[in-house]
Amino acid sequence: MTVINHGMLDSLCELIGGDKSALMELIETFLDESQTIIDEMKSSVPAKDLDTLRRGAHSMKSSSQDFGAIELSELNATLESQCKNGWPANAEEQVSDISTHYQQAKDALISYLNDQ
Amino acid sequence: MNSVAGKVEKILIIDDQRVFQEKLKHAVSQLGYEATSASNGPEGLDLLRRGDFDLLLLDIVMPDMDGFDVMEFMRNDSKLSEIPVIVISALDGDMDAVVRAIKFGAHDFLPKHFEPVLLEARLSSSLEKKRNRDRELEHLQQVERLTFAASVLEENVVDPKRLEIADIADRPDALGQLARVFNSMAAEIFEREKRLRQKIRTLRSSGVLLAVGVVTGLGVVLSRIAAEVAAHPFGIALWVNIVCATICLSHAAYRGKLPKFDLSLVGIFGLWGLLATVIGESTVFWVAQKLPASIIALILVTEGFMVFAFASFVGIEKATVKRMLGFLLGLIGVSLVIFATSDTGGINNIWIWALVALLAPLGYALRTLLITVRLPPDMDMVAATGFSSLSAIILLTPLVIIFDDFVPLSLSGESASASFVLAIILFGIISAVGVTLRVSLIRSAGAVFASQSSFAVTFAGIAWSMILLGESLPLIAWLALGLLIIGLLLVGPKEEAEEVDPIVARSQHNQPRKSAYPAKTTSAVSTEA
Repeated sequence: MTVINHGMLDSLCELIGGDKSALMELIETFLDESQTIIDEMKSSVPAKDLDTLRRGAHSMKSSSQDFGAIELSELNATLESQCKNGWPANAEEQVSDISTHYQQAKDALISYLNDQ
Repeated sequence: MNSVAGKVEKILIIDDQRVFQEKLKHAVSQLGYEATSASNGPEGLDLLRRGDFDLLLLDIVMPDMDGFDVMEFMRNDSKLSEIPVIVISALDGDMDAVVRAIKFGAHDFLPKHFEPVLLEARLSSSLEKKRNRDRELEHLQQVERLTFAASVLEENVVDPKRLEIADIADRPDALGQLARVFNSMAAEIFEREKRLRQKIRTLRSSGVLLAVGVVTGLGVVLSRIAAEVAAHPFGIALWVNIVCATICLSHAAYRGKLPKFDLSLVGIFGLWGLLATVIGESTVFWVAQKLPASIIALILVTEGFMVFAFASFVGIEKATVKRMLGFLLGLIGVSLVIFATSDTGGINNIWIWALVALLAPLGYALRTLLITVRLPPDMDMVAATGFSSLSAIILLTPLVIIFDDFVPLSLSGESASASFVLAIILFGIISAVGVTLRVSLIRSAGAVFASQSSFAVTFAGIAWSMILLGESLPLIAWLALGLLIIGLLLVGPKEEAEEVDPIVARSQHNQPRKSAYPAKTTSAVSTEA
């Protein structure tokens, strides 16, 4: 399974009017913003900051779906729903898993950008 | 471009994630709307209050101020409560939040991940509802305003312009038709009433003006009789003003109408006395020795023209050809009487003295304008007359001393007889009534109309002397009187001031906006659910 679903990227491109340069900019915004969110999620673990962790997962869940990073989106959805019942037992593992998947999605998106 | 009546509809996006702001901005612009974005609640509310937005796309989950808080703020702000809100939410697990948001007043919801057709459908449906609601609200408000206007007109006749229903009359539908008919009927009634009032004012003012002439003209004759008894113009004027001031001030004091001391009043009455007594009366007395009475009378009537010129120059009153013509008729009438009844031959330097004599009507004209512009409108007229005489007394005293013109008033003395004292008292009363009438005329009919009293005074003076001295009135005098009256009607009093403040119950119009919206949304939710 590929990290990025190209079909979903195409429909995102269609949604914003088929403008490739707009899509490029949008991907850059996504990568930029996601890095900040992942960093916040990581630092929320030692502090057991449930609110930050949950909001981070919520944001990543929605945005990564738009860019075709289905697996990344699903990991975040799981984490978010677990957060509803208090601090998840394996939060650290999950965040590191999310971080790894994010790196893969990022690489895939960069190579997608370079192909254009 | 998605535009209604040439206006591109404006949509605000509030989302804390930049990536969604950008995505939505592109997608919304793509559909032809104008998109603006904000990254948090306070920033978004600020933009909403400043910019006339047609719809809000609102993220529910945001740090600090979430979507519910934003909607709460909007609901409590009458300017924002009518803006439709579409909440943005991730579909999975957030359904509770969406349901809550719709119960809270949101029109619709949009998933974070959506198809372009869905966005288009949701936007156009919400905007269409908003447009219908706006039209409905506008219609309701206009019906309310028209009903209010009708209730105002039922109670009194007002200028329909003040009711501000012109925009309703522009509607192409039945309500517009009703407003147009209503407007034109109201305008017709208002104009008719206005013309009627103006006619009544003209007649009443003409009556007062002729009364000023009759009373003051009698004074002219009496002064001639008195002057024969003692040729002391300043001394006589002093006594007359003492009588006049005593009568007027005690009358005003008795009615409790004396004004409080005010330095600006001292200035006004000082100037009044200076213009009327020192410049006006002294000039008349001075030139009386050099010019025949008929010429002086003719020069005095130019007061009316001076007032007319000054008043139209400074823009107090309208100068029209009709009013100018009225003045000319009055002047012709007075000239006819003067030249028909007097002999003007054999005077030296007549033109120089005539020019000097012009100082008198100039003083009187400026006095009339002073009363128009500076006399406080709530000041009692009798008190004003009294103070003007008091001012004259103060200004005349040094003149009486300089010219050694004092007339001792002793009933048994050689210099004053009982008939002289009687004439002085009578003259004082006439002066009090004449000046008071003149002030009232200036106030009610305006300076220009009132200044025609100089015609009436001259005419009446000649007429009185004919009656009192047993002369018969020639036919030409009757003709002159006719011309004077036609002139008065042509000049007409100043038009009544137009009231321009709109009579509208502004606060009432906003009420349906506030109350109707939440009620409407609750019922909409229950039918849609």
